[in-house]
Amino acid sequence: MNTIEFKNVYKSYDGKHNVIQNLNLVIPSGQRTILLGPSGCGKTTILRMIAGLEDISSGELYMGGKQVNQLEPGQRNIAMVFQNYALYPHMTVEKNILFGMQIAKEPKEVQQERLMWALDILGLSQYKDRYPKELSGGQRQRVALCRALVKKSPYFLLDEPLSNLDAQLRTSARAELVKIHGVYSPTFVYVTHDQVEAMTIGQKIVVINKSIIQQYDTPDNIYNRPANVFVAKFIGAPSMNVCDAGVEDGHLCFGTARVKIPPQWMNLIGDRDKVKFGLRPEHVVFSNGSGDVEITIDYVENHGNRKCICYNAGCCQQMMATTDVSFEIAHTFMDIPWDKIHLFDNETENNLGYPN
Amino acid sequence: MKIKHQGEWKYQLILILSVCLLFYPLLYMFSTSFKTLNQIFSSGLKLFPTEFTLENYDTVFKSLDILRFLTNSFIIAAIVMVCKIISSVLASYALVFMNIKHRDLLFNLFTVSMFIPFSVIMIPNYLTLSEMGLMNKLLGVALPQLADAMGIYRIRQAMRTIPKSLVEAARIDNVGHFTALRRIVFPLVKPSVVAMSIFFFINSWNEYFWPMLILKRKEMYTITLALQVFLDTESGSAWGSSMALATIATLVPMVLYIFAQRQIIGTFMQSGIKE
Repeated sequence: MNTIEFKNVYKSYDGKHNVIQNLNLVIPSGQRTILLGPSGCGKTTILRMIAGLEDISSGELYMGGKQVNQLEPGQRNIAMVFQNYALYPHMTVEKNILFGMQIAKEPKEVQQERLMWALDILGLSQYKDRYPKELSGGQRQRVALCRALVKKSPYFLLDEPLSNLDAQLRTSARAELVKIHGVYSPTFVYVTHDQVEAMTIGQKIVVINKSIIQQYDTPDNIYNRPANVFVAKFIGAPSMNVCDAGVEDGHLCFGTARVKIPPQWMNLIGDRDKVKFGLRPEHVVFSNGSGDVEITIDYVENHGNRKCICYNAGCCQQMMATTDVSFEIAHTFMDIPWDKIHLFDNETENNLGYPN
Repeated sequence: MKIKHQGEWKYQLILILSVCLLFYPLLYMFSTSFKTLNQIFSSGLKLFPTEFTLENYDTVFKSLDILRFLTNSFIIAAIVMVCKIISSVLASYALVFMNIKHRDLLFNLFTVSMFIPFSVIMIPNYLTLSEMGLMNKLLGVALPQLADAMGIYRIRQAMRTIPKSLVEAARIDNVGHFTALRRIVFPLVKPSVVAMSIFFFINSWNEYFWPMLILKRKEMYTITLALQVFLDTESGSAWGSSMALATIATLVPMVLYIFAQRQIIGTFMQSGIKE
């Protein structure tokens, strides 16, 4: 079907430094796959290689089982939405949308039919005679989507299409993107650095850092079972608390505080004497009077619907917890919820796994 | 209430003086063309003629085939303009939107060529054209001027303001480079292209020295070369007629400039600001 497969792909601009190193990735047909990572991690380069806008230095790229390394962008049958939308400023909305179909010499009736269909889906019918400069950011973004949609290409590439929108529009646009994918289920490849977009739009997420794939999994697994410290901290807001902890005589040590480790976790820790301990802010459990680790609360941020508590636990770095608004500052202890924690190797920072 | 800008009048005064300085020769040419020979020598630097005459224009039209000279000038200027624009637009597109090896080096070479003085290439060009048998031919005047580094520089600057993603979006739609240039890029740089066209036309129209070297036969003269007909060291120059002809020669570029002044100023003001 319409899978996209990278086999041992390298990309270098100057012939000396690789911006993409030995990329092996299979993007499944008909699903929404998100390339997620911080700026400069190589995610846009990967997308542009799929589009044919960047050459591949070595390795093979297959689309629908066919090697496409040498194919021009126009021969790959893709639709793409650019970060700045790339609408032709001298053409009206209608002409912008029709342009690709005119080049493809589609019959006039088909062009008009698809134009009306796409304008209708995205609610742009009354704007078809306007120029891009006469539209708002959200409308331009929808025109760009329309232009890609009318091609009905099996591959739909999106390069941070929501990054120029305000927070409110972004929320509605996310739902719109999922709806558009549902129209004919193309292979959707979406680049973003925004983890909320990735979690809400993606069926599969590829987390990339420094040109290396950190984890390729479903949003649920990425959030609940992060492969390493980078993924754990990159996904989630506020990000996961990760701190160093010692292991002594079956106890986890946070400075002077010692907490007994359940045997199923001990099996995973093995003979390590140090681990990285991870706990998501929403999983922190505070207690009053007695508990596993004594804490000092630094400050509390009131977000209206919840509170963010910054606190110190023994030797650890500053930690963050989110609680409901009824939280009171009197709490002095933190309990370890063993079914919610994550342990990572101290050196490789890889996840040690979870007890069955 | 308007905001009072203190000391602004000083700058305005400098501007007005500069404009007067630049325009005086032009006005002097214009007024001299309506003066009698006696007045030209007796009135000194006075601008306005005390006695108004059209005699100079009469002499010009009777003694010279003005239409022929105008046509010659027009043919050369049109060839130069069209070819310079085509070469500048194509080169600029390649420099901005195509992944050409050593792109920056090529652009620097173009730019450096702007600094080569005309006197350095004049003799090699003259010899080459003479070998090619293009002496006394309009094409001989036009041929060395068919590409222009200034044009490439200016149009490249204009194209650099266009986001590359526009051309990339077109390429994804299977649009070739020529179609992308014609349908996407060209409409967006049209004001700059119009401005440069007129700039090229006027420059070529005003050219005096190079046509003088190539065109020896009177019937091949351009309008600027025709000016020398009235300048004679032996029998005395007919200054009035000469100024009348100069006025006629100036009219074409003036009219063109007035039509396109907004684009010309815009093009020369943008100086490479990238969005």
